[in-house]
Amino acid sequence: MLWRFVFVFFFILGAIDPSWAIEPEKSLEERLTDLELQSLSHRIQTNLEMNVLGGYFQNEHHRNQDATVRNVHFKNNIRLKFKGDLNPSFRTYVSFQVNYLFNDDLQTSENITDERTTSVFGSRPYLRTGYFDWNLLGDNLIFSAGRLPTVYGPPEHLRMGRDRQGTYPSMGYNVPLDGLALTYCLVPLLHNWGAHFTGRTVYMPGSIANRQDPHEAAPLSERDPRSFSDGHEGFTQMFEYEVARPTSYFDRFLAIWQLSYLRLGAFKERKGVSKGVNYSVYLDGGTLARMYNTAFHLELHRIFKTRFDFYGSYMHSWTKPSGTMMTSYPDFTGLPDEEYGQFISDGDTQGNRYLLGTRFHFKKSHLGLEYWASSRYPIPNDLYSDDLVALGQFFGKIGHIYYNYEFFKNQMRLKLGYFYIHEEKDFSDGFVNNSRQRIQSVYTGISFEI
Amino acid sequence: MLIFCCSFSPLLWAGQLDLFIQRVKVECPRAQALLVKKSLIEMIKGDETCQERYLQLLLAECQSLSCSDLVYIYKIAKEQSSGTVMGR
Repeated sequence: MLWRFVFVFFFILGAIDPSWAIEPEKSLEERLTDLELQSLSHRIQTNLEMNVLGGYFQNEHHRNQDATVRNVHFKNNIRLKFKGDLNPSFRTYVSFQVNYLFNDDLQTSENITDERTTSVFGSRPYLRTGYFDWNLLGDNLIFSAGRLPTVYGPPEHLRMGRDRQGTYPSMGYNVPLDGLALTYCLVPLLHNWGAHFTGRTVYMPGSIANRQDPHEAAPLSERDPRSFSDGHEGFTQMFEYEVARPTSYFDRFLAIWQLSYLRLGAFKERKGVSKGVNYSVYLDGGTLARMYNTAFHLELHRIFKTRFDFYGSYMHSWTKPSGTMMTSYPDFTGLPDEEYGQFISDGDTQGNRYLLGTRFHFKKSHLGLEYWASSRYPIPNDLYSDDLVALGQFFGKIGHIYYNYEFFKNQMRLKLGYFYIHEEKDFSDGFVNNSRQRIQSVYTGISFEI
Repeated sequence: MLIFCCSFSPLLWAGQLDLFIQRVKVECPRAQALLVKKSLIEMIKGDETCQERYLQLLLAECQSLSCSDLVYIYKIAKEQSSGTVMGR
């Protein structure tokens, strides 16, 4: 009787819940087809990177005063990347990034702005890249447009122990830029030897307008509403030669030469209050400055099969300011506007910046040394870094030593480092001024990718 | 001046998987696609010394390829599908 009861019980249960019934196993072809359908329906790939750093800072002659400031900061960089393939000839890449200091707005909220020259925006994400690549002639001619990958370029990836993260050498430009680009291979036969010789032409337009009504131009100032900004315009020509296949001389070779021109239009009038007095700053012409720079970057990995890498970057720039920045005091109608100065410095300026670096590889880690130097008035355009501080923004001499240890099969890195900055000049409010700050920091960090 | 290259390369940029398979097939035409895919899985999981099973089988199948060649192909495919360099 009992076994009859058990039989009836499972018969009834199978009728109520069909999953209890034994299903035929799917064939291998059915399972592969399911996988293929899944991959077709999920055409957007995602990737996450995170980089948390903490460091102790000491800043002597803080803001050129006889005061030494010491503090501890932690920084978090989070990067969320998306990639979509419409088809093998058309791909799109979008990435959002957050760079912020731990709890810096816990008590006092920082003014969060859209200033592209500020790389630490707080915990609000910004668009780091948003562009597409369209193969017009196979892989020999590719058209790109949108927010291009112009930040975190070489040699930032060497310092961080990861793959290359940007197109431009960071000394050439290291600021998010929007533009249109054509990339073309110059000698396709080199592919047979694992080498690539590539040219890249980039056009960067920009306008200053009312965002809600782009058909309306932005007046230079309230006092002169009939004069308008000229907007921005830039061109970059790059040549890149890379040998990624190991040879007896090196494991990898990369050389980039870049020539850039950028015309910066006038900024929108800025208003503020100082010591209870209202003021505004504006430009008395449509163009702030014309800037030219040439940059060169070189990398050699595992030179002559040793454990040494070598890298170096050099940039020379010329700045030709056009308009003069003016200050007006609206509360004092009889007071004439004051000349505030020209961009970087009054009159034409030029300057250079260079970086020399080396790495020594151990089994799962590497030790790096860098020396930076600048002279005269180089354009302050190396502004973004996942490091605690973007070393490229400083004018002066910098020594930097770092150690990266890779674990979890190279998907995570632990970093230790020290840098000393002998600052000679400082760029703020559009000018380069003398500085005698001496900044040093010991820091550590963890970075990983998923 | 733009220089237009005359050949239409069959190696259209695609995802990392397609790039890796295409490049290995160029170097070793007789390598089976399934073996190449399983080798790629092992590289994605972090094996850059070719110690895992399918990478060893692929190297045995393709005498013209060394482990450093495979690592190079993998890294190039990964970089070219990452979007960090425009026009790749």
